[in-house]
Amino acid sequence: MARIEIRNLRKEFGDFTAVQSSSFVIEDGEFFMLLGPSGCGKTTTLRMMAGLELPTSGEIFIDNQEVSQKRASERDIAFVFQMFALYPHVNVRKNISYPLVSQGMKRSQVTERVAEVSRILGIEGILDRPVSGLSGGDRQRVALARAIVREPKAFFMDEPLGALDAEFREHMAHELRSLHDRMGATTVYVTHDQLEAMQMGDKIVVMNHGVVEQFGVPQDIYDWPATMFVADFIGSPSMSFLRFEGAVEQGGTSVELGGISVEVPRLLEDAQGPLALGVRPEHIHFDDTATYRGQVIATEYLGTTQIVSVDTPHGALKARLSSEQPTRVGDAVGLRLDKRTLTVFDAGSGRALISEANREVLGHG
Amino acid sequence: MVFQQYSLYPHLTVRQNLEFPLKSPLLRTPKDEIERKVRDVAEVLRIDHKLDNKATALSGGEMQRVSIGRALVRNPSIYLMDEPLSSLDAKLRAELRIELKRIQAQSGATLLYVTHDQVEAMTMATHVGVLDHGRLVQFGPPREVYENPVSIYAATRLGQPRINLLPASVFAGAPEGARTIGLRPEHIVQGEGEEGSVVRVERLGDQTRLHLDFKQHQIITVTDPHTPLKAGDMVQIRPRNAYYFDAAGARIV
Amino acid sequence: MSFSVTEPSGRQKLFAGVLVVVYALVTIMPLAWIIATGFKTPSDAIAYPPKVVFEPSLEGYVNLFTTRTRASAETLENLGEPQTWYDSIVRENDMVIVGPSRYGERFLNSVIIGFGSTFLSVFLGTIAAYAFSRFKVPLKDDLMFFILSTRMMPPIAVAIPIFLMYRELGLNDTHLGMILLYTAVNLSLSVWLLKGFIDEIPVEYEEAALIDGYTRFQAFYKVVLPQAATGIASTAIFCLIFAWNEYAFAVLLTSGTAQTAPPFIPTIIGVGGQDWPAVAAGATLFLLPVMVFTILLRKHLLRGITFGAVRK
Repeated sequence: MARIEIRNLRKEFGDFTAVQSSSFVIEDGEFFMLLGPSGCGKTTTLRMMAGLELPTSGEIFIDNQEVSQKRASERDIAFVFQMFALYPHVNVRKNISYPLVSQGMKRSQVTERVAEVSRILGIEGILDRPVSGLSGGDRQRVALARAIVREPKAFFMDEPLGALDAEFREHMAHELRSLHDRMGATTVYVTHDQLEAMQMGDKIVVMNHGVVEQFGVPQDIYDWPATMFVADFIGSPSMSFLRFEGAVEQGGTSVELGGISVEVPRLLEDAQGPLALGVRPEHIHFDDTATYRGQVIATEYLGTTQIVSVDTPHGALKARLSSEQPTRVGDAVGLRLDKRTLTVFDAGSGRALISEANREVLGHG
Repeated sequence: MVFQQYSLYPHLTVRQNLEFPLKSPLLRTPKDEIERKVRDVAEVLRIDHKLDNKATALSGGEMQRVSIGRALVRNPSIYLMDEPLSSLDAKLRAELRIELKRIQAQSGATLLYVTHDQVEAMTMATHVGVLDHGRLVQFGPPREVYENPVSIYAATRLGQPRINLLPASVFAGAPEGARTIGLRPEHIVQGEGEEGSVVRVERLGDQTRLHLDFKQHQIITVTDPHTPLKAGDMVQIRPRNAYYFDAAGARIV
Repeated sequence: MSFSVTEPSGRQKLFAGVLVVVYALVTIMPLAWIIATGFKTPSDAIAYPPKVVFEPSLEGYVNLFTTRTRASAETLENLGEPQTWYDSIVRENDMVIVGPSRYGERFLNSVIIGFGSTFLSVFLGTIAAYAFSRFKVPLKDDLMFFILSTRMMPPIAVAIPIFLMYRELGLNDTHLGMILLYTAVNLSLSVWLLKGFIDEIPVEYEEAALIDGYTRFQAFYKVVLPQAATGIASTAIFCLIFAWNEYAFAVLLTSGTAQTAPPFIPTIIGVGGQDWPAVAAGATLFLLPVMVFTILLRKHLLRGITFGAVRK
């Protein structure tokens, strides 16, 4: 197993820059998520790590070895594709033993190893079946078996659950994560699904337009997003923004929203111009005594909780409230925002202003 | 009818796509009325600035809005929608959920909507019909189906994470004839009752899910997002508002 | 999503059935007539009204494979009893066999040239299509268009230049010349068809193989080829049908050693009057290889023809 380090990795396709100088570290045994919308460069990054694309510049270290210009087969990694890429013309057993045969392993040893991984994944019963008749879940398991069987330094997975339907995806995500917990292999996983990333990842890199926006553990990224993009991309519903023109000072503990003062964590830098106050849905409470007010425009029932959309003079908010709390469309409500959890953004650049609360996570305070 | 795949005519513009059903020999709408209707619908769906674009030059969300628009222009008495949002990404799906609900509320039309996504069912519907192998097993407002499921099947349709199902004997106090106890993740009180061990802590930001091993059974419950619990810790749990089901899966209490 | 379609009524079914049978009769008719004519005697073949029921005879086939000469009654008597069944058929018409005809040779030429050019077109086509499909080829689109453009005029329009070229190069009336010519004509079709097929094979299969430690060529050979089998089979059939049936170039460029069957079959008529049964027999035998080849590959062909109509 291996530690992987990416330094200033860059990829250009003609005039188009797919990945701009990315750097991050994947520790040994981590389940690492590359998260971002389609076209953000996450798959390109993974493919460069795997050796399926050559980087324009930058370095890739797998197990302290610089591999950026090496062939895929020389990197000792396994790749699980979104469509699983099982060879349709041979049966399950042959699919799994393919990578071993290419290494020239002895037949008796191959049989042994195939038996072992198929037991781990619970697919002993389908070894002699053709892959074309398998269900999505079984295909997924076979693809994983083919990856595991070689005992590579790291597993790279490109949206391996993307082709499954929602219900089954949840199940397989669970299975995949517990497999990881048992084997402890370094895994790099690409997804555009923030829930999947939060659920399964030990660490997450959020990418957008080829740039690494934030890198850290899921809860930190959720609580203290580095940019408005991350704040918007993570969470369902995502962070709401109250946009306003104004100025804040270093040491300030409140912002002025249309003459109403809202308390925020103590800021450690100045900013002026277009700003935005970011608040997560569960940190908004309805309180008739609150001075900041809005009007309910929609409610969505979700079982124990409900999502209430509120229109305010500074933009729409989404609040997550208990379903017990009666709300009607058209109601005027007072809004109390939990001051410990708020982030102020520079709306021009999208960057989060450093405050006492997020200093530790964002590091460069 | 709105299909899962957008089924737009790729060689036509957005406007022509929207006009298409009106120009059918069945309707033969006068020209100025076509114009008016297309404009109205485009406004409602916020695609009026894209009317003269080719259908293929749209994003996925815009395409789906156009295909919904094509159903809207006809002003039918009932809309049939077959998982119209399932091919969109999560963000857009959330946006269009609200939009569809607004359109429905504005037009007052009847909407029959097929989905396997429980969030769509809960958030959009006035009434939910739960189908099990072609049989309607429960019908009612989403809240009623969620809070008062008639069977194991209906209980597992709604709720995320899914309801925990355990043998009724795992907890004391099961009523007569109960075979299975159903516990929604939020119906598990922590800090009292019997002990289970934490297998995994899943931090989703707004909530944290605990995967527990309780008397050799898997239980998922939700807890405070910043809980200090970690894998290996012990937690006491007790059921609250549990559902009980008989051997056939029907609800008894 | 499918619309439910109502079950057709009995009358609709009957109508559809009748339509299919009538259409089948119309299309099978000429074929059946040719095969039947091959087994008629020359007089039955030209009888009017045409004979549907007749006494089968192998005279056509014997005439096809032999050259004969008319012998005087005296000569015939001196020969004694006919040695074989085909001798006796020929003797009945006061003729004797003087040697084999050239049909066998011509047929073999057709096989060599037809299958040779098919193999070459498909082989080169697969390699070219793979390269166009997978690699960054400079001016890819222009090259693909150029390849297609070779089909934009009928090949026979350049018959004269090719004839002159072949004469200079000494390729006239050679197997190699004909194979190259048919390959040149078929190659554009083959590249285009196969590129479509290979495009549909997800590139991940090869990438998986590359990561597993196979070389690019092994990945192509072990992963792409088996999956492209359908496309290769149907392309091969299209190529073979063209090369097998080609007539105009064959007439122009071959006369002896490399002459194929199509220009040869009509020349049979000349021997001893209008020998329709021999012509029909030649045509029947000529149909067989393509038929057998197509039947062998029909599983692939069906998938190939409907290919691309429905995606995913």
